[in-house]
This record gives sequence, C-alpha cells and structure tokens, in this order.
Amino acid sequence: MDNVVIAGVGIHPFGRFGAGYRLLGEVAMRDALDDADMTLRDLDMVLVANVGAGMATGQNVVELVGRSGIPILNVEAACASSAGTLYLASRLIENGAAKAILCLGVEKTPKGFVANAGFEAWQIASGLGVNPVYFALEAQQLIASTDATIDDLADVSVKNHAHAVSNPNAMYRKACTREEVLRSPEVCPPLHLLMLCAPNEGAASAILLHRDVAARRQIVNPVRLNAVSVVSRSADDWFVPAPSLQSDGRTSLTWRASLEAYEEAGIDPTDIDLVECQDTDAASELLAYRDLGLCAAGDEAGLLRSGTTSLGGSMPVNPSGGLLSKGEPLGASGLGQLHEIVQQLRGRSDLRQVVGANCAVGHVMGAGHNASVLVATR
Amino acid sequence: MSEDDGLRQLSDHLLFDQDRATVGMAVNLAASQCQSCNRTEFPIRMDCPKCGSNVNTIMLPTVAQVKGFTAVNFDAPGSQITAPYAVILGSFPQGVSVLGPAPDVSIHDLSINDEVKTVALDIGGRIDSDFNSQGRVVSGNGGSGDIY
Repeated sequence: MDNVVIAGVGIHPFGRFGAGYRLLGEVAMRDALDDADMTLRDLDMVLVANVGAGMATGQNVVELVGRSGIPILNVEAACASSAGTLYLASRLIENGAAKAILCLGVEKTPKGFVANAGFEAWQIASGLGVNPVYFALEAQQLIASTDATIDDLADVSVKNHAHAVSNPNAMYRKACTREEVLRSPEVCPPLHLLMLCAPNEGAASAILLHRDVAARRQIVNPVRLNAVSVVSRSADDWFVPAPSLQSDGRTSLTWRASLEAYEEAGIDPTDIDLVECQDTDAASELLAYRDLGLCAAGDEAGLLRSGTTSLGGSMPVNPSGGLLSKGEPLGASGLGQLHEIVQQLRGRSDLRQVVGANCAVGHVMGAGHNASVLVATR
Repeated sequence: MSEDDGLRQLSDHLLFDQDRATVGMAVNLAASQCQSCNRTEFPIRMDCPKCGSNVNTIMLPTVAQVKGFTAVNFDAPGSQITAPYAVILGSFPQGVSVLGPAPDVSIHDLSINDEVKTVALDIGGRIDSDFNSQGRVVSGNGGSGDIY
C-alpha cells in the first residue's frame, strides 16, 4: 500500500466513566481532527467501530461534531471492529475512491465476562459462553507444549503493567509483581485475574489521507499506513465462539493475517521496532510472538525472558501497557493501538518511547474468528 | 429471542431420544461427517466447511479423551450452571474435539488423556450433555423435573 498516510490520531482515555458513548466518541474524534488540523468538512467519510451500543452509533457520535452530510457507516467485527474500519478506509484511499476518511472506535463494555461473544443460547446456558475458557485452554496447551510456565504468564502481565505506568490513557497505571499476579483470583485456570484484560470504556480515532492530500496540506514526514490485513475463519482455525475444533492440524488466524500484512508492506519480522498486540490474556501475547513471526514456535517464553519485548529491549511489545493495562473497549481497542503506534513513530511517547521506532505492527483478534495485522512506518 | 426459544435451542444439537433421556445417562452427540474428505464437525451442519461436500450425520461415541480442561470460577452471564465448574475439551476418535461443561468434576482430578464420557445433564429444566469422568457417579444438578 503506497498511498495512505495517517494525518491525525485522537483518543478518549480507556477506563470507566459516567458519560455515554456519544461523548467518549466525540472527544476522540475532535482530538484526531485537531491533531490533523482538519474539520469534519475536510472528510469524505466516517467509519465507526462499535460492538454494543446499538443502532446508528456512528451517526449519533458525529452528530455532536457537525452535520456535513458525508457518509457515516458502522463496522462491527467484535474486537477487530477498529481494524475493519482501517481495512476499508485504507483500501478506499489506496484505490482512489476516497481522499480523507476518519476512523473512530467507541465502546462502553460492561464490567465482567463479556456477555455473549456470538455464542448460541445452548452454549451460554451450558456455561460455555465464557471467553476466558478459550484463552485458558490455549494457555494450558502453550505450557504443555513449550517451556513456558505459569511464571512466564505472570511476567507478561508484570511487563505490560510496568509499561502502562507512564501511559495517561491506560486504566491501570500501577506496576505489579509476579507474586501479586499469582495471588490474584484464578478466573479460568491457569489464568488469574491479573492475567486477563478488563473489558471497559473508551474511544480512539485516526484520520487517513491520500498522500497527495497530505502533501497539499503540508504534512511533513507523516506516518504511513503500509498494510492492513483482515482474515476470517478458515477450516482449521479455532477461536471464540466455536464449540468444537479439529483435534489435529490447527491453523492460526494471526499467522495468516501477519503473512498478508508483511507481504503487502514489504517487510519481514526483523524490520519491526515495536508491536501492539492483542494481549486479551497473558498467554495470548506469547502466542502472538509466535504467530506474528517474532520468534520460532517454542521460543515464546524465551523471547519474553530475554527482555526483547520489554521497553528498552530491541522490539518492545505493548509499550502502551497493552489491553492488560489499558483495558479493552471492544470496538475501540485496535484504534487505541494505532494511537500508540503513531505517537511512538512520531517520537512523542515520553517515558515509554521506543528509541528509533520506524516500523510498528498492530494486531487484533475478534470473536467470530477475525484477525487483523497492520504495518505503519515513518 | 425469548428465553424459552433460547432454552429450546439447548437440545437442538443433540439427537438422542430426549423423551427417554434421564440425568446422568450416557448420550451420543450428533456430528457431521464429510462424504468426501471424512472430516467430522460438531454440531451437525449442512455441508463440509472445508471442502463443501455433502455430509452424513453420525453419532459420536460416548467416550472421549481429555485434550484440555479449565474451570469457570465466577458466574457467567446467562449460565444455568453455577460456578465454579469445570470445562473439558474432549477429543473423539473421529478427529473432532468438543467443549463441554463438567459440573461434577474437579479439575484437580483431571489429567490430559483421561477418558471421560458424555452424559445427559439437566440445565434449567432441559436436557443437555456434559462430560463426566468415566466410572464416576453422576449426580446431575437437580433441576426442575421438566425434562424432555
């Protein structure tokens, strides 16, 4: 992808708030417009990611910013909803169908287990409509098949919480110890509470421009969006909410999404300076190391232990603190990652700045079998 | 969808004789087996998701091998089973692994490759299936008696 640049990003911090989704979305949208020095009238389209708010969510948010008459379309792909907006917007711009699109993710996810991530009624009634069950089974398999231990899972959470201390947009900004993680209640063994992200509220936004428009607007050295892939389920994938899987020959949505994105961007994993990945739980981050090609299968825990993926390492993963620290407003999480990535590539991430960041990868997974990988560079 | 409609769906994926089912009896889950590539899928479906060919409905055996397990230690929205309860991923010889609740099993008594059996479970007054360690007494979960 050669023609798409990111002109501005905005965010409403992730957490829990009294305000409704409209106000959260408005804050993130105005923040992105200010960052890009643009107005609603400079846009061709607004794409809005949301999972739970109901009808005309995007229209209700944009209404608070203005009435320019442009198309406003809502996109839902569970936790990959933000990625869906970026996928569509980047292709429309790359192919000349639009010049300026604002992508917005906004969500107010209730506390606790996410209620019904696409499960059938019999699964819910049978006690199977629980996302962490899937994560726990993956974690158990990771521990059984590699040298990863429960301590490694705890240390993912320790790392990401340490990263979030300096992130004003994260919900949890307190460092924690391995012992504190392991003392927190077991939700779905082997996963403890502090190894799981908290569904929460927030909004994030990005404005994508055709590079010609960016040049006319005298945006110098912008962040480029080099690739956005979105893949859905193939025959041998397994994720929420599938009630069964093939016993042998599992495949990975993330692996396929990363291959597509790296090819489109013309990079390989050795080019990556930082990653924001879907650490819905601690084991998911380790699995992402493998499936994003950051390490060989079996070396997931070793990569973590080496410090490579910590701030100060050669390829920090989730320098924002990840979902484990920020929380996960479902429809906004991917654009929240992009907000962090753009600020990192601009060199504006203060104490959590990845020195020399030029190439960044974002990764999300969504219920219903969606995965997306994006590549951004400066 | 009304609550009643939702509960009725509980039994849609089970083809055993629910009029005669009683809590704790061994039951066979229905699955689809591809006429072309032999792949087995649960629940049953119209055609093979991998190659698109026609499928036959088969009954899985009542014994599965534990491929993975965890527990749900906090009540889940909409669940008719009170936490804590175990969840087992049971692998059948036909190559498909199925998630099932196991409210009468402690995960501390489970190991990978253990054998478990599929048994009828009363969930909110309807019969569904769960996994129980083979040979262990099945207690069921009481229920309203409105079993079908």
